[in-house]
Amino acid sequence: MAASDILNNITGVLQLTQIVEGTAVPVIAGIVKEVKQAFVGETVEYTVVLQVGQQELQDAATEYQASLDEINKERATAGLPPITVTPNDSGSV
Amino acid sequence: MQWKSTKLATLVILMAIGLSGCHKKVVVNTPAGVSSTEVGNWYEVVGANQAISHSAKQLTDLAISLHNQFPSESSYQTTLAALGKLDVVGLQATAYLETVPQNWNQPTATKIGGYLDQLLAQLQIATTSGLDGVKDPTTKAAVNALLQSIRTALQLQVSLVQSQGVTVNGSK
Repeated sequence: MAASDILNNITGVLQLTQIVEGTAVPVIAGIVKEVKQAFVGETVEYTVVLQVGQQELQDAATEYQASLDEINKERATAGLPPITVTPNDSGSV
Repeated sequence: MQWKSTKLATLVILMAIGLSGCHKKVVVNTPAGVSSTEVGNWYEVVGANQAISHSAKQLTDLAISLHNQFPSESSYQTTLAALGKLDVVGLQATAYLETVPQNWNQPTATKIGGYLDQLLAQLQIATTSGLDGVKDPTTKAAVNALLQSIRTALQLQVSLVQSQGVTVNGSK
């Protein structure tokens, strides 16, 4: 079996282990999004790209907020009240 | 994350895998009571959410740059209001997903389904209030590409919600 076959079989969730007060606690770091393989002479380099959920959520929130801020600037120019974010479990606006 | 492997290390990996069998391996250690499939689905929803936010921001920027090309000030503000409400719901959905990390089950899908109902509705309003009347071919193509990007990501989320037996109104 080639090394690439081994890597192609690695899927699912990648974990890290944090030490919390002397106890090892498994923490999900992310899922394996992509495994890249590069040959450099006799050396094989593997790069594992992780999809990290928490970072993606923060990035999404930043982009949504930036978009909303631009819209509210336009509304202010037109004399309209801003559209605001309210804690709403049903998702209605 | 990056590591290097010499031929010897590759042989070690081969031997280690050989001991456990050369079958498809799924790394577990998921939250209690959550399957690895559910974890993977949560990440797909989160990834699609980020794609939507990115395209939504670009669409907002483009719509604002096309202010003078809207049929009327009213249609322009209606379009922006719909995009703004899409952002609000996106923020709400994002905040909710943070409270259920790596967990895609029916309650989560039901909640996200509710957000998707609103996202689809606001996207439809934004589309038909003036953006669909852009005449310049290049600009029209840019608008359509962003709208399609959002729709595609929303449809992915819809399919994952429906996989939990939850209905999403307004989904095609």
